[in-house]
Amino acid sequence: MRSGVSAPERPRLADRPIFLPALLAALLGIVTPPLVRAEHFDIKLLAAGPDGVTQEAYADQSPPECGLNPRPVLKARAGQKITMQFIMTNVYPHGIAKNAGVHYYVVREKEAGQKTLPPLSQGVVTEGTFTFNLKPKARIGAREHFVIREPGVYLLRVESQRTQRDHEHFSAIDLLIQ
Amino acid sequence: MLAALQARAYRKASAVRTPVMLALSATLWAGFSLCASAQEFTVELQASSRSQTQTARNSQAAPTRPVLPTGAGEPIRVHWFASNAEKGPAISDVTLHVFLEKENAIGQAAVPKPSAQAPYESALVMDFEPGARSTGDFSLQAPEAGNYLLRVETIGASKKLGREYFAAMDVKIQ
Repeated sequence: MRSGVSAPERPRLADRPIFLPALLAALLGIVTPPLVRAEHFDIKLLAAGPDGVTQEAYADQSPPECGLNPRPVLKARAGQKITMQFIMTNVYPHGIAKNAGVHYYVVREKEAGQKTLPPLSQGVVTEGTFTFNLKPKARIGAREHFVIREPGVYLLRVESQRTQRDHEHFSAIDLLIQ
Repeated sequence: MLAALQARAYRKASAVRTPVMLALSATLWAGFSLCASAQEFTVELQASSRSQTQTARNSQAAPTRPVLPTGAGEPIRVHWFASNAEKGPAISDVTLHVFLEKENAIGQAAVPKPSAQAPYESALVMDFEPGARSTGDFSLQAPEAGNYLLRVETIGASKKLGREYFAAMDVKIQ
């Protein structure tokens, strides 16, 4: 498991091939994506600013709720378009977890790297959930463009839910909006 | 004499048989309809802007789609589900693909292929046992003004069901 590895100056996310073909190709075994192996979930989370800078984060686990690994920080300006993309892969080879979920969101937080999760009752920029029967090798992915209009620090996080294990996996990046 | 009796018997039997056959046909038709609907895979899409909610369910390739009007930067809330019928076949490796992508005109027949600039795109893969269901719920900011297609579709259902399923609507952003 690896987390919090930043990779500045990567090619723009927007310039990369669309992600459904990549996902389908990976599912068909045509391509083996360079995901880092985790105990149950591989997660690759990307956040890209308009200047081409991209930050990446990989799987961590909770509890504790914010994991153990430091989060990378993406800097951008208020009003600029930010792209987030994640692909999660279930690498646990046994059984199906019925009614499992994936939850992702961008929400305002007090400071970069804070160790408590901010409430989702206010300051949410975007949020989404999926509910499904999680089978071995299943993949779930999403890409979304969004704009943050108010300067501040925001948490971008994607997390597994209801996987019927004693812990869940997540990946997160702090967004510093100036 | 015998012929007359036979004719009368036939008319009598016919008089009884016709309503019975009609009732039987109606029952069979209803049964088949129920069966068909019980075995149908369902995809439904619902989207809400500040002023309206639109719903699309098991869309066909018809020229008319619901239209959700909204303004650039305003929030759009989307909910979708896909479910296999209780008595449907088990279908493995179905991808549920959801996207919002710009289109040239409201109601256009051609489905735009989502690009890297698509405001939203997601995919998940699961096996649909009979009665299995998957849902998605997300918010997004309406992108720049224009016409967009919001669509949820199956990829891989046709191998068991003979066709893919989708639900779609147009989003008009002003």
